[in-house]
Amino acid sequence: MSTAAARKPMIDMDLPPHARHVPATHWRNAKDEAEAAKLGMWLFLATEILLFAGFFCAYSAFRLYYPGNWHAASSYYLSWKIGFANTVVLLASSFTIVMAIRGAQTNRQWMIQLNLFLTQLCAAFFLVVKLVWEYWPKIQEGKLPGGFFTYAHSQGPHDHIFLSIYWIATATHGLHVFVGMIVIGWAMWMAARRHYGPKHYTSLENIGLYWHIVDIIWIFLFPLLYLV
Amino acid sequence: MSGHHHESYLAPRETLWKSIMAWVYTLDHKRIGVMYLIATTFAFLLAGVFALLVRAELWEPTRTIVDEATNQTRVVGQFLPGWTERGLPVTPNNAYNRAFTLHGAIMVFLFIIPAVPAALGNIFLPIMLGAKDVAFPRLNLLSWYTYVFGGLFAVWSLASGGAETGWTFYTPYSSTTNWGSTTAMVLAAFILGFSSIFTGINFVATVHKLRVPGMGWFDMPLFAWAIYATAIIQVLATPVLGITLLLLVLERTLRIGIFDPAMGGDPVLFQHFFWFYSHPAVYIMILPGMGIASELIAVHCHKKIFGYRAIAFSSIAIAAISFLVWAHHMFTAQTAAFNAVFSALTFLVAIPTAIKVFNWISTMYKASIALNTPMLYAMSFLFCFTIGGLTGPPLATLAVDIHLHDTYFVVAHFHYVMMGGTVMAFLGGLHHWWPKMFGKMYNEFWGRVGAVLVFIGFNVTFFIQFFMGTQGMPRRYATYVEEFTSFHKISTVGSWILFLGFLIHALVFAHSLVAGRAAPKNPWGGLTFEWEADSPPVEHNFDHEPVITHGPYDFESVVPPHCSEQDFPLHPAAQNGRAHGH
Amino acid sequence: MTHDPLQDSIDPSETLSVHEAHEDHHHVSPFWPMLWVFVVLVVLTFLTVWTSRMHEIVIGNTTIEFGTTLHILVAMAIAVVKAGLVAAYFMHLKYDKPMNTVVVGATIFAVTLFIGLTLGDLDARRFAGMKDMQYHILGGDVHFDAAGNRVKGKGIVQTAKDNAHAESSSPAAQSHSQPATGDAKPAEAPGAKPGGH
Repeated sequence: MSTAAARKPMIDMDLPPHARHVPATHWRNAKDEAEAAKLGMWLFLATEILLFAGFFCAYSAFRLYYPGNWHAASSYYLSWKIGFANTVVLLASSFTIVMAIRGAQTNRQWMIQLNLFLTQLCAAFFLVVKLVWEYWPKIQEGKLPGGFFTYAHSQGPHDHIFLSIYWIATATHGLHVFVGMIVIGWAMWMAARRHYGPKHYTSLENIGLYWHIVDIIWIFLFPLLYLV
Repeated sequence: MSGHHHESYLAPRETLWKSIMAWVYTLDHKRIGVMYLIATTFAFLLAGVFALLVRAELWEPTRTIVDEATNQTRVVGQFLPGWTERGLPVTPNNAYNRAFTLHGAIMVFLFIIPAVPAALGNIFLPIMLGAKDVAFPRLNLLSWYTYVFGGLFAVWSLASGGAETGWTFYTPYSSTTNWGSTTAMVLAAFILGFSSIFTGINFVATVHKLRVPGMGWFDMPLFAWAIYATAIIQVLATPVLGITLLLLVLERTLRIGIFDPAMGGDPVLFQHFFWFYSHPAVYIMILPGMGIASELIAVHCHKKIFGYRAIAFSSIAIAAISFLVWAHHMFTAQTAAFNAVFSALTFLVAIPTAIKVFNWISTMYKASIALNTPMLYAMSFLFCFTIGGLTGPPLATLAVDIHLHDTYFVVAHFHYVMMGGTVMAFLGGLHHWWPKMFGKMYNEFWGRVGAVLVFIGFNVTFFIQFFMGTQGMPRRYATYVEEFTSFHKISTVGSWILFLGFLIHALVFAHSLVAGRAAPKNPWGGLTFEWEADSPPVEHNFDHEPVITHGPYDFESVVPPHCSEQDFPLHPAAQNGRAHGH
Repeated sequence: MTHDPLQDSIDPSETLSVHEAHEDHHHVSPFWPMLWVFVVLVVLTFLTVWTSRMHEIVIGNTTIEFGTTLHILVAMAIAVVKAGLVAAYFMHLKYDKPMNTVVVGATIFAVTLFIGLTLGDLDARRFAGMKDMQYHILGGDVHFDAAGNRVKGKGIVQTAKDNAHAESSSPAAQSHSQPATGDAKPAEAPGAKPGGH
């Protein structure tokens, strides 16, 4: 092994932070580190998919048990227009986060920051619409899950089960959107510090992957809850 | 972080505070592994105490006494007295329910799932691959602290009365009653699940990305294959436990009603959800143990493992098939058609398992077997795990399972595979790698005594339970009919012998740490990379990055590192066996 | 920066700071193709909404009625295409190492197993009005007499036969709680039984 004093790693402090990245000591090179980070992120996303699979399984089970009631409840309690707007907005946010990554890949700091900001805007739109136009009216009218269901004009005997599934699935998804906003906020701060660049944007990519999964889950939730 | 690279990972720092912080903030997989080891051992002992309580309660069948004044039947336990809780009398049965629930939950979630992967796996997987650390050291530390956090929830649950639903938390009992603190225990398991997930993610990435250059997939030690297969299951199955327990908590708090028949829900849905995780979970429990068995047998028989690729592929096969069989825990709750499907699939999982057992036995054939403590445990593992495995098919057979479901036959089966399998392998691995982990030898004679006592105690405790089960003794019952008394008494005595064996091991290990002989780098003559490292290893595992020059089990052509050819002759069937590894 | 001797084992020429011509192993996401993907996704979303509002297609003399099952299938098919587009292009799977796609594939397999086999079992036990399901599991038609003693019923096989007979003799028989919205398929009609609420 080379002696300690012989070689110091050459870090040119004139370079911006993203060009100064050195992989951690247990990695042989930066490429391995980046690929491993992405693989690790995909493994984590696999766990997220399986977590939501539970909601879909519960949904399917009760759809199977109460088919007619389910479809009627869906159109009775939920507005497909709100869901549709939210879906388009979330898709747009997926696009903008890809553009943020493109900004890092092409070393355009303005592009990173603008697109991250747009993503945040879309996410905020999603949450505000959800909270103000969906959740709050339901809370006021007693269209609540399971044992707390007090709405006077239920249209079928199993409405509370439908609403249970609706509430827990969308609330968990909304929580993931919220966490995503926090993480994207962190990324915006890092971007402001010039942390991302063509040689180093792994964490931005991983945040993007998380965001896309959140979008994909909504792609499935929207038709199942609002449309059919 | 500076300047400690050539010291052992256990070496203390300049001040006490720095030493403590070096462990609290460590990113070193070995230190994290040791912390896991201590915590899981403590959990094992705690759950073991509950097991002793359960067995003590079962010493005698209890008698029902009709209360003259109220004309009600009261069941009086022998050792677990009742108390009141929230104004209601807690019967001894409630207390008994808590004892077996806590035994099960603590054993499963706090000991057996994390023990081999997160303790031994954390310490040895990177070293075996020639790496300096796992892929994501900070995630590793997060996994440890998540485990601690979950453990705290479990302690909180214990302190507020524990749970009495059984470790399986079946609804509607778990969603509607609350003796003790069920929600806290459920949340504990939920949090511990994430610890397991993080470990799994780490290990998959480590095996893919951190192998020494030149080490292909089929140059890895079989322990690495086992950990890899386990990690796959951890990543894919544990999230379903997460959602299951989350739904249970929501059912309890928000009354969402999906498991409550009165509200239109389905309690069997819970069982599907729960067992979709918990069946693969049992393979999380056994696969690392099988990996250890491969290592133990190869090294202590000083012989190339028979059928390396078969064992490697069978590990992956077991991981894959494990996802297909979960409903065999629900034969009495399912429809006939699906019962048949799952019964057939369950028989399938015996195939790769049997392949492994035959390969291990073939490895031992005409080998130079050193009968030291790790090898005794490897042989105990073979014997007990085979019994456990052979008692699986009767349970997979539908018609027989209707009779055996929820009897002691099932209890004996899973203890034979989990304890006779995983715990035996774990203890064997602990003894095998003790010199490497801590740089001290343990007392071989007393190690063997402990191993023999554990083996005898285990079989006395559990073998008789097969017969109890076929005769109809139900599980989770605090009282039983007179006919089973002698069975239970034998079983309880066995539990005491088992306890004695563990006590001896604890004393041997404690003694080794304070007064043990300094360990050489390769006491057993192993060929995998950990035996090239120091005992205990330096902070970044190796002084020089290891170069791969031979396979992990090439005993007939390679002299083990730091060993002499006299001690470890090259001929696979050496004439004079070694008395001790040294 | 404190000198870390372990950095020596990393070849400085491989660190990013010096090796400017480092191979770009990541395909740079192009603007216009990604925008097109977004447009397609929005169009597919429109399509999902449109087909869900559709109740029949008339082609010449043939009318194809859309039942709920078909709605679900169509919606899910479109959703799968959308998710696939997001995964392949936005999430870069198309340009990544295959191992990432393997991870996704394994996950989808696990999810399919989970939902598929669970639903298969539940499907075989569907009864309208879950209140009585617990009585149907093993004993068939179990009920209690006035004294509270359990009266053994006719068993699951006989119950199933009776249900099948009842369904085939009165195809429009549905429990009173269901509004008539498009699923008159007998396979979905719950077995005739009392006691829904």
